[in-house]
Amino acid sequence: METFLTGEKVPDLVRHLSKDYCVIAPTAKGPTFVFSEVEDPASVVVNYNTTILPPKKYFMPSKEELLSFDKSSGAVSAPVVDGKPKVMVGVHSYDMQGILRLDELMKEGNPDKTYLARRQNTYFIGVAFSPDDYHFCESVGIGICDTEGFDAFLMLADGGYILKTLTPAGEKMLKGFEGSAGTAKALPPDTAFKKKIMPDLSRIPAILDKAYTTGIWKAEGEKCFSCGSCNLVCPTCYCFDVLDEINLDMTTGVRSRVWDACQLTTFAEVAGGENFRHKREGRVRHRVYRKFRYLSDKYAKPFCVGCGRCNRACTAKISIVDMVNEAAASV
Amino acid sequence: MADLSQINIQEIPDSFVPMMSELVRVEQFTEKEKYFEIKLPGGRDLGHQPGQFVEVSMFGIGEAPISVSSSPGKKGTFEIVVRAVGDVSNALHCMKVGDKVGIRGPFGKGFDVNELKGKDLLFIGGGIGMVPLRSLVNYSIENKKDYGRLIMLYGAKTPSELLFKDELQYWEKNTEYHVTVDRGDKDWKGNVGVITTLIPPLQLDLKRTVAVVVGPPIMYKFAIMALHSKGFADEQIVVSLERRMKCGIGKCGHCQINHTYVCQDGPVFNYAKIRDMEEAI
Repeated sequence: METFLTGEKVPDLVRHLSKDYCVIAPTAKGPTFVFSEVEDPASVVVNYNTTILPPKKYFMPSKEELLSFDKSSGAVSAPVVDGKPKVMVGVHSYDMQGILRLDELMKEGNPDKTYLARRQNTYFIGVAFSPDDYHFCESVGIGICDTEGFDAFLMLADGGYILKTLTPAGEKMLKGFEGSAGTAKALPPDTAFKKKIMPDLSRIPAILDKAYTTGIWKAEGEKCFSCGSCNLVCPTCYCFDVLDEINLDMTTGVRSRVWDACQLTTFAEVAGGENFRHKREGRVRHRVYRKFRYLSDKYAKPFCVGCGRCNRACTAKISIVDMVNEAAASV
Repeated sequence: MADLSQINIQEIPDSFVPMMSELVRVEQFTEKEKYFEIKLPGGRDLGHQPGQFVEVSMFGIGEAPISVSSSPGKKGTFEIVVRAVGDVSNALHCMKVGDKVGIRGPFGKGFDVNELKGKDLLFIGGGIGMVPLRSLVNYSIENKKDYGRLIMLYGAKTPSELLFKDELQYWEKNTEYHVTVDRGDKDWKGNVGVITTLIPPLQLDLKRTVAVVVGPPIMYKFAIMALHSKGFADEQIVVSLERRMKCGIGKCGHCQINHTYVCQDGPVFNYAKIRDMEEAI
């Protein structure tokens, strides 16, 4: 199914979807945007640069109960996750690719039960966008109109959008939805990316192998505050810490996992004091290599999706694009 | 890309939920190290390989990765030795016989007991490194016919810090046993010096010997240098590395060394495989 709709018709699209699904979409938050469960369809924004946090927060929440315990009875139980049907509207291609990459990592080895439970029954409607000063997804092989993973997609058109279904699930959720009157021509996406990774994507693993001991990492490490903001906002970061909380009765409590960050000083520290990545240069380099090198042998693609959120959120405005380009220039 | 529609969520195990297990024996070994013998629900075997570890839960405090110290030949219970250094280990030290702790595991890649068959084994255990190494030492003694010479080097800081004092005679009897301490005391009659000093005098048939090295991070560099001087190739050296293994199942990220997860691809590694991993040793 393919239909034209104006920007004003988007709330109606959301209302239509809300009948059968929990709808999650970007809404404005001050000068920026966040994904949230929609309460007021009129608040939905699909023409936005990016959100503070990527969609990963719906599949792996920033704090999530792993189990509850009762020390007196010895009872331990894991919560049952509600995999309610939901549709995320207005997702950009790089965020979809971020989710698909996380899917691979959470499914392999010991499958992550709660991530997969939340992830099932989730559908996606994508939207094209105009890159701003931070986006660079094209450099990592992700086009603005890449439709992989989406059930439907909103292409940019003259006066609005062209909504196209891509999967049977997309057909099902849009059945009965009527767009705006008339038709319009699709507009070609604006591909003027200001941030670009210079070397060809296929060459980056070899470049990074050679650049392991260059001075770049120390130079960037000196700027870094080890605040971990980059890890929090990254669509493919999923490292977590586990913590216990006990109630005042000193008997019952909960064990949860919370987002953690490899940039934090104590990330690789063990009880007894040894810290296996105590230098900032090592931690900064580790993140770049996790995104561009360590997973490339197995998956043949980078795990950076070019959203630019790390650069946006960074206390020191460190740019992963600049680091990769400097590495390329140094070898 | 991953096809998630085929996954049956109900069939995925609850990887974070531990088995509540009973402490059947508790013994203070040294000032800071305590021995625990643990029985899983129903008394079933842990089913571990030497070199694997478990995650020990103290509810309300947390979880810590602890190497299994007993041989898989010991049925019905397994043993750990824990040094009190952090929240979980200190809380564990307050536990008594009959108390319950949570156990998840076994995790990780242990010593490949099959690949070591027919070889002379040179065990090098530094300090608390003896704890995981013991599971392999005792296994090889139990299965002596499958292995060649068993040579054991054990180093501790002082005589009072030697672990498994009741077993030292068993090891003396069943292996070529050499022990040293960094600093002796008035009663110590044995070797004094770091563990690497025990390596040069050894008479070895290098063609059939594998060195298995476990100890604190600082020890590996020097032990490997000494083994190289003795003529060992990298492929003949096996190590067990420690990292912050929080989840034990290859997801939380804390144990990463470059591209690997120590809890999945280790903690036991053939040195030839990790010599180029810059963050390893």
